[in-house]
Amino acid sequence: MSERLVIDPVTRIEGHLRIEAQLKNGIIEEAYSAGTMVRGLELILRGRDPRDAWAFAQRICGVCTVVHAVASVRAVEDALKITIPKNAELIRNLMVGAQYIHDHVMHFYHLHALDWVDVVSALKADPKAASALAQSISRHAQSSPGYFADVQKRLKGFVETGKLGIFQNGYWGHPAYKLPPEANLMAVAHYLEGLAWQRDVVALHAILGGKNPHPNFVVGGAPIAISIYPDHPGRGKGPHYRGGQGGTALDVTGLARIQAVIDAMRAFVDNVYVPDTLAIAGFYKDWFKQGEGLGNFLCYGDLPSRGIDDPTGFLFPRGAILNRDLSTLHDVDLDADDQIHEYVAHSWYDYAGGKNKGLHPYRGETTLNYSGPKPPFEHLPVEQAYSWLKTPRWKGQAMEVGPLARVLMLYAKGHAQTKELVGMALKKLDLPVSALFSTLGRTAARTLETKILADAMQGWYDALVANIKAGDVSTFNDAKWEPSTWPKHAQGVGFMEAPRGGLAHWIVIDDAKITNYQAVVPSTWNAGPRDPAGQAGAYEAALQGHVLHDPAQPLEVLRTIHSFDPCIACAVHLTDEHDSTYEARIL
Amino acid sequence: MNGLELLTWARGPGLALALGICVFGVILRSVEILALGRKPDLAPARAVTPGSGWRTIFSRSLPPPGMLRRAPLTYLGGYVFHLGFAVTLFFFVPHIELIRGVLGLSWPGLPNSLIDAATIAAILAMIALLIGRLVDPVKRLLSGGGDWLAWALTFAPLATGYAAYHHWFENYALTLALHILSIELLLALLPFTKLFHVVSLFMARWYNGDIAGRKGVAT
Amino acid sequence: MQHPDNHALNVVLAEAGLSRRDFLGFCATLAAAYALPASSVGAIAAALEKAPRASVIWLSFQECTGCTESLTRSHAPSVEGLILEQISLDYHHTLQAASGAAAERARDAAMRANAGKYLLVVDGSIPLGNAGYSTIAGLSNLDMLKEAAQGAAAVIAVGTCAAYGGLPAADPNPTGAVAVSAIVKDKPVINVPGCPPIPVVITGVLAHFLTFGTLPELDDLGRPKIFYGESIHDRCYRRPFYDQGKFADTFDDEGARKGWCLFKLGCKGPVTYNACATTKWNNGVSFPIQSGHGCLGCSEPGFWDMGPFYQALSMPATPVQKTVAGAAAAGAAVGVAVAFANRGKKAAAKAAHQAVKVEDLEKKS
Repeated sequence: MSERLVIDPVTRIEGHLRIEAQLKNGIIEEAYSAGTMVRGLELILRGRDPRDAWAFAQRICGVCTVVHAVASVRAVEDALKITIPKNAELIRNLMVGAQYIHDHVMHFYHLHALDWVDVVSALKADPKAASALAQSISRHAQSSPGYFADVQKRLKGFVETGKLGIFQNGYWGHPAYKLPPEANLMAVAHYLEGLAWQRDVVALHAILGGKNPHPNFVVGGAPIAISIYPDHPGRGKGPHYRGGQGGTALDVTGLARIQAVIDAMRAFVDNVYVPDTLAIAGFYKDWFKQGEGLGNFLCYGDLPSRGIDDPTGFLFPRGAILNRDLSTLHDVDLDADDQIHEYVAHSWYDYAGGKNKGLHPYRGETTLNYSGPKPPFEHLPVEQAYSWLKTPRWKGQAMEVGPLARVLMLYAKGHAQTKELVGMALKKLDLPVSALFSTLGRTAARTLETKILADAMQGWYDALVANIKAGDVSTFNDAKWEPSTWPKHAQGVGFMEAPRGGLAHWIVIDDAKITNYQAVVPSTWNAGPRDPAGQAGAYEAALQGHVLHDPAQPLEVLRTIHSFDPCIACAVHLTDEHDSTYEARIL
Repeated sequence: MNGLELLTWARGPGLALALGICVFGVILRSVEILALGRKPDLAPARAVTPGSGWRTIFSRSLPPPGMLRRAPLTYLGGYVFHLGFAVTLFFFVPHIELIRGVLGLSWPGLPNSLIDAATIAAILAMIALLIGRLVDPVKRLLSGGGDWLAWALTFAPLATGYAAYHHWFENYALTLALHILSIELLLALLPFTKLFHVVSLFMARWYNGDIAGRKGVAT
Repeated sequence: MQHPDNHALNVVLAEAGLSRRDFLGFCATLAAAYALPASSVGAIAAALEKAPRASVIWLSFQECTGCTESLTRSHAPSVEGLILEQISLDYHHTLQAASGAAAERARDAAMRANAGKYLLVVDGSIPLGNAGYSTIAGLSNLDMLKEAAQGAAAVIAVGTCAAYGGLPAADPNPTGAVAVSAIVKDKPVINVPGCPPIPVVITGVLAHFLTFGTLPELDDLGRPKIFYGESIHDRCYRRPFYDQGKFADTFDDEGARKGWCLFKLGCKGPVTYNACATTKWNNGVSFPIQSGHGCLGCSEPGFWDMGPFYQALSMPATPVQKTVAGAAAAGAAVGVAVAFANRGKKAAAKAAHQAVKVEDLEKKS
């Protein structure tokens, strides 16, 4: 029997994503991913001062709140040939790293976990057994029977009020939930701990960027000046005497606090996040065999050590992998006119040259043309345009971006720590390397790269301290700050590896004003609709073949979609709904 | 339109409009005056006093002997107002930033306490001059609508600026917008009122000084 | 699971064994926010303990999820304390377990069970240009807002997009985005602007409603005066430098490192009303100015179109040079034309001039 599955809104994501799928006997034949919200940011950016662009672009997304700002300032710096001081590079790396760690942990516990963790089942757990389980996998301090009993009591009190709030209508008791009650209780405890942890560790962004979400950046470096004077003689009106007033948040206290945040990040990742991922994954090994998706992976590379123009100094390398072949890595050029193209064949946009053309982002166009059904509607016409996302392609190929792409790239390049971590995880789970090409492979890759980054944070911090000690307090390059120093025409690309994958902004500047701005974001790569040739995007491909126990409770779809960590404002809401078999808005 | 939107309008289109009218008017009137021309003075110069015109531009700023005592309010009030106004206009940092934004020129500013004192002095001087004008029957008789208008146009930016800086009203953005709008009104009307003296004064003094020099008259 | 009667908070607390210290800490935050004496903490706690968990429905329209992220950064009350013990967050895309039809059913159920009593929170603007610009479950944002606002006790517009249109409404407003208050006219709307709002300001406004059951006092832009009553500039720790005329000229000069005023680098603190300089961000760690960047003015309507961010507030918001040059040329041209006309008049007067001789005068007399 054939039926239509609609999931809208897809929740526990960023933004507005809708998934439609064609089911046959409970198996997904074809899936369609649709972004259902547009703001026209690229149109708003035109005519503005390029130095202001980061603030607009940053508001593409409040979850990955750092990444669009960084891509934007890099685009302007690339266009105007601005290099940034060493300290600014380290400060940006610390902010990007902190964003990854914060974001990945929140994604795992607060967005993704409820796909694997049955909250209601935790009520049946034996706190002593939960404690024994926790202590067997980690040396995390909060693991006593009393602690778990308290968490369980709190949860019980909550459930007994009869108001389940955010847990209302969850898929509790679904047979796809496999964790024993004790593991569920441990995960719930860490869900709550994670909320507390995350709001403390954003202090790093608050110090270096003034606030979180949406910390501040600046073209040419970092906006925060360093209020530390290593060569001060110690008393009196020395060369940098500042009379005890003012200063910035990056003083000795601020620096010490950053170290404390890094310690807290590493402790949580090592003692909670990594052990939990492996423990939970152990109960869901069949999810290492589905949700493979495209098998093509793309990385732009990021986290420079010798400037953004030198990819050899990147922690995350650049390159492409095709057809799961880790032995051949392909070069990627973001400026080349024949590599990255965006298509609108199935998107609610028009191109002057026709719907089937592909355009490199420098020549990109943003002309809104909603041709979908008038709301309220039941289905989207998937054979025509059905999404506010465009369809990016690399040399005509649909590509997956994100943690899995990066970990595979690091693995293929022989990065020692990655090889060790992947080896450890696969050994613990008793799985082959090919298990990485899967729903849980994606989730595990996210955890492993978090570990790599948490360790790298300390290195960047130490380098920053050493630089300051050596008397280098430069954080900003003002040589090309004034528009009078700019060429009449300039264009550039700012790229980065965002937590969700390769991200790039292309900017064209004429007479000191933005004349074109195009952002191709990770979730556009992953969640984009079909291209003119009918090739599916990463979400659409990954969902193919999923077997649904109950289409009214599409937990399986959510698992795979969430494994990509959708961020749709960047790129779009999934609707599970009705057809003849089940009615969506019934009460 | 709320205070901030009014402020943005005043800083953007409003400013462009006011500056446009001002520059248009100043150039129009200057060209008009200069193009009137003078008949060439065919008589031989009685004395050769180079720089007489330039000197006069400054020397006329000093009171003629005895006048300071006869009209102290006019002179002292005038000095205090003009200096106070100039200090506030040219040495308050936000004003310097405005000039930098328009002309690209910049110089160091003064602390706000000094600017504050200069503004108060200018405001008090203007009030004293106004009272002097109202009380003195001769001055009152000589004053026409243009004079009262010029006073009001000049006083408004000082008063609104002072009120904005000291947050006299809850809506700061609105006060600031009114301050900028009052300046824009001043700019727009400057070429077409007696306030045009900020430009014509230099031409007139130079001409008078130069012609007097040729005739051998000390200026 | 839907009990008709709401358990009072004190019962939940007792049953859940929640740290009473956490709870009193939240009450103390509230007391401080309202400048109430410390002795009132007990009274607030008593009021909250009697309060049942109010239903909150949170709708996300044209937004970036920054406001929700900000909510999760609140320290007192914490987000977990808020959603477990103080409110019943019945619909919230980013946090709720259920997706799709199950999520929509949860919203419908909450709206029916709590008709007239639930609090509606909205983040994001609403596009009026085309209903298809933003849809959820096939419904346009406009329809969903109208439907949800009908039974709400009050609407809280969180973030500058919901409060004033925000980023989507920035020039040229490609999707015709508008604020919540442009649509909801028959219910009280509280604006909590900011991009995003300060975490404790979001929870503080929720807490006010939960504690007192009334709306806080609002300013003329619909913002609670307790958080938006003073400008950043007036409460800024760098204000003394502004008064002394000491300014940072660039981002890492001596002035920048000494924490001098950022006015010249475009700080919009003087015209921005928010609590950043007093409560600061992320548990009082810092705020934009303390971290070296001028205030963008993000809690003010239309801040995206206030002119370039890095231009001092006193600088032109849009370039004036072209207008001035045009005016100068026009002035010169008209001046020359008038000069010619004047010359013509002069010549005509000369031509019309009749020479009068002494004899003529004598003749007449």
